[in-house]
Amino acid sequence: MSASPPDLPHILTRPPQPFDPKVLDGLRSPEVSKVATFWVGRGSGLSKNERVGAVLKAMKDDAAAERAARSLGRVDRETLAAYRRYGGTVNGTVIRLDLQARGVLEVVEHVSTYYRSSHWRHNPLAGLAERLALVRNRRSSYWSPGYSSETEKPFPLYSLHPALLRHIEPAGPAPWSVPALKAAPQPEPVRLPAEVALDLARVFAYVTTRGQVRLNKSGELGTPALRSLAKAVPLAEEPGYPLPEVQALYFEVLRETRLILVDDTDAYADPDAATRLSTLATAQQMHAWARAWLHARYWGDGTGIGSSEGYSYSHDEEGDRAAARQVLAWALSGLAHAEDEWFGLSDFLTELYALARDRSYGGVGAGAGSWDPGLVEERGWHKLPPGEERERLGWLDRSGRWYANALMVTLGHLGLVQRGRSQPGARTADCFRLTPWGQAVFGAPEVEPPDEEAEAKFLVVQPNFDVVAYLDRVSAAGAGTLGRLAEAEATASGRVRTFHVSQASVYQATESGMTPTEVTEFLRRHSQNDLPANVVRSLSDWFARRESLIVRAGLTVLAFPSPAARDDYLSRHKGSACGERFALVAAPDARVALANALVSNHRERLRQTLVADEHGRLRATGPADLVQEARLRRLAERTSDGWRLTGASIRRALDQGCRPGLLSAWLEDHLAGPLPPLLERALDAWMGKASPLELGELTLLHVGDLRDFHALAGSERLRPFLQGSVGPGWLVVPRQAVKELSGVLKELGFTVARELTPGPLPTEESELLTEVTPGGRRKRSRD
Amino acid sequence: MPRKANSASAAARSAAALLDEVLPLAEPAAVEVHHHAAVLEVSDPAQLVELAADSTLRPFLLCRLAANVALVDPGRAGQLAEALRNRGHTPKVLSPGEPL
Repeated sequence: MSASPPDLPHILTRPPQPFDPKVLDGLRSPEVSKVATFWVGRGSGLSKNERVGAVLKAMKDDAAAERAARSLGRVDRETLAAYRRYGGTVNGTVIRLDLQARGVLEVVEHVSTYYRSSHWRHNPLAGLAERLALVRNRRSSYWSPGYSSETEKPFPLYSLHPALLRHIEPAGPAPWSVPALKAAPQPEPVRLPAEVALDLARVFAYVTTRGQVRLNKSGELGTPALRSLAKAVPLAEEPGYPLPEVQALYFEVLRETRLILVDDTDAYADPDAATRLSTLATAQQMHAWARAWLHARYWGDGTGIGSSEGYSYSHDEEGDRAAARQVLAWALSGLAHAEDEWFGLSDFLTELYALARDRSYGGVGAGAGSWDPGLVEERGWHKLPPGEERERLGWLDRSGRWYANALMVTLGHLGLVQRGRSQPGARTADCFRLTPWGQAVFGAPEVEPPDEEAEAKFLVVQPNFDVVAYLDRVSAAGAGTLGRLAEAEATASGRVRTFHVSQASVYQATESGMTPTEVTEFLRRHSQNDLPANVVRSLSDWFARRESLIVRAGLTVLAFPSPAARDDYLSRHKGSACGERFALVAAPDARVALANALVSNHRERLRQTLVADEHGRLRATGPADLVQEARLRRLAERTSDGWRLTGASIRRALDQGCRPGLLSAWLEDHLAGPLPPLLERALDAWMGKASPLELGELTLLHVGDLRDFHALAGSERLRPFLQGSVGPGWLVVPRQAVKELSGVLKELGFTVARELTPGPLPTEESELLTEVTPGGRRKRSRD
Repeated sequence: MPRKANSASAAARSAAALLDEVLPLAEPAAVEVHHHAAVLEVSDPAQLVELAADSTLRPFLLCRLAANVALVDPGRAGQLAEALRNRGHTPKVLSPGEPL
């Protein structure tokens, strides 16, 4: 059965921006008159406010909008028709190229001895903007230097006024193309949509299995995350057209097609979106991939991710990179209407340069590590004197190379472009053509996609769970689904591939949103043979195993002191009975309020009702709830008046699998105040993190005066009688030297008492934050 | 035959005793509301004995709410699912909002 081809919108389709009435407030009276003349039919005889009111009314009146559209002249109508072709909003460079190609805009050149300048013979956009038939977009104010001619600058980002949309017929394709090659080239193998879909499915499965992938602060896939992804999902490379960080391209395509969602710095898979995409025809999927590439902010053609193309606004939707991609898509839409023709890369870029060169901003560059198409033989072009040739070579070396990478590498990898060489082996003879799918994507809405077989039998399922897939017979949706439920060979390429169905792969498929029935039916529907009985049986067992173990998150659990209380609650409220005393309520119905209930929020804050003392006793300032009771049972001993933390209780908890960090977190969750420092140190000690202590008997000499202390401690004469120091003012004396030291001190005039007078224990925080090292020196432990 | 029946019954008693020890049935003394909670459901109560006896999994399970339902330690449902997978299980993970 062949599915009818889907209708695709133009690849650059972008809806008009809603009209903001405040635009009128900023206009002067003569400007409002021009707007009123167009929209209302008259501008005189009314005050400014009355004219504004009449304009706003006309903009909401379909008949007035139709009348205004009819009043347009031929050139104005052709201009708006071009906007209408692209949905209403068009990038400023793209509309310049488009209107030039249609002959609506004509360049008038002035060449003198000293300079060359140009201007438009007639610029209809300015007049249409004055009448608010075109409305300047809020995002159109980016930097543009004044030294280049107006014909080399992008126009502001304009939108066709939404009220005019249905009264302007869209224009047809712009008459722009490149001469096709006369001789048939040597074609390179084309990437099939099924191959791309499979690779996308594998990256999607990785994100699904991981649960979430950490992004860096700017939202990019960071190097560690990319390394993990590349290691887990090795993909075949194309040596002739090296794609940097191929997994990152697929990640960004999945992000832009909303299969991967981003919440702050976490990326996670959306199984519902994957299920929706799996129902789309190949042409629709490839259209979505191409649109994703157009908008992929973090992907750099030729450079991969994590690289700037030189401008801080290159991530902006109207920045260099996005504008250049739109220009390329526009140019390809011109080629898409040619029947299966090959084009020389150099010819294409030369024509694009002639039309698109734009000196108003820095343009794009692919970087030194990118694929080098060898467009510029003379690398020293920057040493040439200023002039046309230097500009052309410079453009080809920088922007031309970027376009070549986007076209031949990125779009080639996505199966939209087929590469070839017009002279086999020659470096500069690269050529290309759009694949049939590429023609449909870039030639929409006029070019229809190829027919495809929705129910293709492209699989052979074997009793050893291997699945042989013929990728040239399957749609992107079919391949994508296969990629979700079977493991592919790591870096296999080619049109016949072997997959393996396993419990893990089928589990992954069901976790990513497929139902067991969908998995079995997919294999049955697309298999050339009957599914082997052992495969059917194993699938059934695997599904049953999954159903036998369910983790259900985001619930509200209600606990009751008696079965009667629970049943009474459920007779009046939503919820499911659980055991004898519990009820489970799903999240949407979870706004339950019960009088005098102990309320605990497992995501934000648990009940903090415990107070600990130095003996490890835990006194409760309120009744313990389920979580507190269960955790205390793990980490403390029950006593007659509550709970107590002991070495035995902590060791038991550790033996049962609780890690030290978890025990500390549990206590922190429930304590109303800080742990007494002694208990905190004891907990560390019980968990095996104790610092060694020393306990023994010493004879000490206490020297109260610090000058005396330093004199004694530093004395060569007294050194034989001193063993060390335990802190300022305190010297350790070996027992056998006591008598002799007493004699020497007496001789020196000191009076030595027989009793020690220790100072008070430290109480200040600064003193508590110090520790005594075994050598007797004091040091700061934390500041 | 009677001996076999006795032996099966003893095994069941010992499993129940083990479960009571490692994952006791919760007995709330007051009405409690636990928002954003997570539970682990098994089709066969004996599975809970197996899971709770595993020292890697046990810290994730606090107590039983029913013969086949355990309360999961707050905020750790995702880690429990990961730990179960690492131990060779294939848990079905239901997100918030899925019907009961």
